Amino acid sequence: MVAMGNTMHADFALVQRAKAQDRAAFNEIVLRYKSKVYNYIYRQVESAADAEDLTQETFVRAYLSINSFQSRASLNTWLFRIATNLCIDQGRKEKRTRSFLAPRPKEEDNSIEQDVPDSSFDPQELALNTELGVKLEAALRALPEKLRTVILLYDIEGLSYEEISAILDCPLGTIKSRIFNARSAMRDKLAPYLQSSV
Amino acid sequence: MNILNTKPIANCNNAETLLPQFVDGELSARDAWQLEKHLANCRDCSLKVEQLKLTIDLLHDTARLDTNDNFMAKLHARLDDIDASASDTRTNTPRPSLREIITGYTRVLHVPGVPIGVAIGAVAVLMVALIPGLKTTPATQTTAKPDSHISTVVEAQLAQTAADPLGDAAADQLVVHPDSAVQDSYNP
Repeated sequence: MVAMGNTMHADFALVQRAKAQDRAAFNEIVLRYKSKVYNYIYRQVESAADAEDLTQETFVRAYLSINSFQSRASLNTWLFRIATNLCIDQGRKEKRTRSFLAPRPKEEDNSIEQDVPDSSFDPQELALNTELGVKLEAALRALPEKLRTVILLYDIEGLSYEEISAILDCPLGTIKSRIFNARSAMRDKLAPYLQSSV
Repeated sequence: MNILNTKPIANCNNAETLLPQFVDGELSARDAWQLEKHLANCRDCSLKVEQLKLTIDLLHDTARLDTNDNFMAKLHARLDDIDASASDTRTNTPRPSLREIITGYTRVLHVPGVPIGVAIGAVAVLMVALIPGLKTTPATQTTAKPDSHISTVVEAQLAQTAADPLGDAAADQLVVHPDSAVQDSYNP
């Protein structure tokens, strides 16, 4: 909690300097948040190139509108809100493009390949387990957009219910419910690969 | 709180509603105890909870990615372009003259500047010409006492009557001042 307070204090100081046309301060903001924003966007769009472009666009928009940023919200929340809006726009564009091309399976489909379950599952080794990582990424992309957004923000980027509620402009109860539904959907998709002790 | 009076979790649906808070450790001690009792006797629910926890662990340990090495260079190039175009806009815009400011306002109002000035002047002249109250009156007339006013009018009428004994100009003058002392003497 103290660390979060310090981060917010440091962010506030950086924003004040950035508002006074201090490019070095804005540079510092980008360095702090580009990885978080990129990871979030990467799992929302179809290609790494799109993710890179949208991350750039997020910070360009932040640069252009830094003077309108109200310090009531955290910088983290504000940047994720910009990124979320860009992802929604991108999703609409992709949907329009897809409608001209070959039909694709619906988002809700359980389209993960049904491989043999990985018996060597170990939570400590998850990041290194490439096969399971691929299954996880596929399961995330197969989620409906609303569920994917909340699970990315809550379980992967570590935002609070309140922050997500502010980003998506949704009631807290809706956010909690979506997170549970998203987790349950992920569990159902990954169940064949999860080695349980029960 | 009497823990012995708490209702047991009757079925798996009730257990399911408590799972989100249970896996996040946000369930009250009493509800957590009740749920754990249910899980001890229900293999299906127990498996669900276990898999849910593993899924959450998996999500928390997701591989972290980062942008390309040239990300910052590209971003700064874009920001430089934005700053340069903003600066060009500022320096290339000359300061507007007074005439341009007035023209600008009249354009905003969708009226031509010169005709509206002429129209305002004409209205002012007409008001002065047509409304008697707006005419400037001599200070002596407005500040003079009623008695002196009456005597002045009577003197003027007498002088007119002397000049034109057969005319009725004096009577006309009296009708103009119905409340004056002269009228009383003319129509007793």
